Amino acid sequence: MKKKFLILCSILVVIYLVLSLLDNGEYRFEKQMWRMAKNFYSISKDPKAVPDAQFEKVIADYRAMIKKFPDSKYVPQVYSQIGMLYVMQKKYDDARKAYGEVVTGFSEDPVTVSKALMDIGNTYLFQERVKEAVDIYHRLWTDYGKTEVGFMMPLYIAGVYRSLNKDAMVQQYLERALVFYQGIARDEASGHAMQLNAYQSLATVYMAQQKWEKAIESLKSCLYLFADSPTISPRRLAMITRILNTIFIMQMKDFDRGIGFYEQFIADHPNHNLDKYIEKVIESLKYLKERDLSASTQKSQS
Amino acid sequence: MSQKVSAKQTFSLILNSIFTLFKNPQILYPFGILAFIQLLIMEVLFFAPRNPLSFIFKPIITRLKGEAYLHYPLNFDLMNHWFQSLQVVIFLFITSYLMGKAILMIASVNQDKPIGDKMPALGLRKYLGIVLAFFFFFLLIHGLTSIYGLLIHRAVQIRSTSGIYFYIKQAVLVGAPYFNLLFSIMVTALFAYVVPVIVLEAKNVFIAIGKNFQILWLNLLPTFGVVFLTSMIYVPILLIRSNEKSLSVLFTPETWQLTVIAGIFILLFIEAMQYTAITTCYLLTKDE
Repeated sequence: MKKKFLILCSILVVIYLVLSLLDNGEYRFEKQMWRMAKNFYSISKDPKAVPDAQFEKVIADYRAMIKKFPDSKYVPQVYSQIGMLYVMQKKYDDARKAYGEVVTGFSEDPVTVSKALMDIGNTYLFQERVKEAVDIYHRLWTDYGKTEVGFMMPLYIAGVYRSLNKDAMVQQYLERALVFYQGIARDEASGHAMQLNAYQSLATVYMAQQKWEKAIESLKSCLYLFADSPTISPRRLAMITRILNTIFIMQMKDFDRGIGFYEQFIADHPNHNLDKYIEKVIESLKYLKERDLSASTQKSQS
Repeated sequence: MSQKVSAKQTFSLILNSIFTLFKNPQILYPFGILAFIQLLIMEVLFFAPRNPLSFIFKPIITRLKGEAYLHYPLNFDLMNHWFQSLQVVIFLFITSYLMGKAILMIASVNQDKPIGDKMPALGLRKYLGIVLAFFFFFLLIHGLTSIYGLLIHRAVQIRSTSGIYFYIKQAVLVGAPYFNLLFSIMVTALFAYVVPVIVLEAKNVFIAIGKNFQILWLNLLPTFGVVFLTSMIYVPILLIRSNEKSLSVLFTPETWQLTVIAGIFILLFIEAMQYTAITTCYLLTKDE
């Protein structure tokens, strides 16, 4: 009996060992990352209260991880966390060095590099070195404009200048953003997802310029051009209609225009799979219109 | 041995079952196999998101649970979720078979017959009878927990933050695992003799249920006593599990998994004690 139990236990142990040895994935790294992330988050809760030695220890542990698993796909993430720890300590030069290791070490991966460049740009912004920050954002935009981060750069730079109350620069970047997004929107080779993002970004630019009609036109293009594309997910559809409703209700104060817009969409796309959702939007607009009417009647009576 | 133990004495039944298990560790063999099968399944599920098993499991996991469950530490959530789901199948088709064999071995020990290293044969008819009985137990426990689920649903809607309704809500929500244990105790005790009757008297499940109540009526207190007291061993595990949120700060996912594994062994030990005590009680009642 003892022998049989021993055999069963051995089977379990052997299977465990064999499968552990055969696993050439990232499991061990993920496990260590999870443990390190716990330290990271405990520091990030109140970085000012954390002694420098603790920062250094966590950073050293992260570096040891990179040394142990140099080929892991998570290495850029580790550098990013090292960079964030330096940012928490306000050691911006060290942070930039850490992010820079991603830029040089992973130059063949535009998505990873674009995120690292963004982080570098942000460190300059934290130091209020706007020129250097914008230079980096520019590089990001020109070299990695088709990545998710690079794509939003013109609007982002405009946002940076808006926060500094530099209106002329804001307008300049909004104009440049228009040219950039129009180019992508028209370029069939960009692919549906990029084109859709470009139309939506165009709407954002027009809204920033308070050109409501043009913003509606851009969003209409999103709905009409991509109605049959899988890029219009329920979430994206909700986002587009929300922006449209904001323009119709908050800016134009014209419920009928909104209702008419959606009714036209249904008329142009009979029995379309988006119609059900659009009908609900029309219902909501009608309800809001009624409430708005009764509220204004009450106001005038009082 | 059977002459020394009274069917009316709860504690002597429990002590006798422990004594029997230690003196005849062969009885533990079916339980050992059950532990092996459960650990093997857990092991396969643990390695499922990793190479080389991910070749088969990755598309299934991604489709059913999402990409995140392929990675640490959510792989543990996936493992425990799927392991729990498989428990029904294990309970119906494997536990039933091995418990039948365990009862045959316990009966042999009680009747002073030698038991070798080999498990006795059960027979297809008896096996199917036990599967049917286990399915009936499963339906009963599932029904009771579903009713309790409705109660939880109602309790969640209570908005009070103090007073009697708040305490009722807390009792229903916090007490859920303990109430489920209570349901399991009730069903196990109420139908304790069904499996021994099927295995030792070769009766069909319906006759076994009828006979179960006759025996239960004669041994109501000791039966409930044995099932209740032995089940209490599982309470510390329930305490740990029901405080997952507060303990998660102290526990790594691996340590947490050890409590799940400990739970498997404790449950099997409880079952071994219960089946030994109940079978002994059944044989004594039959003798009397």
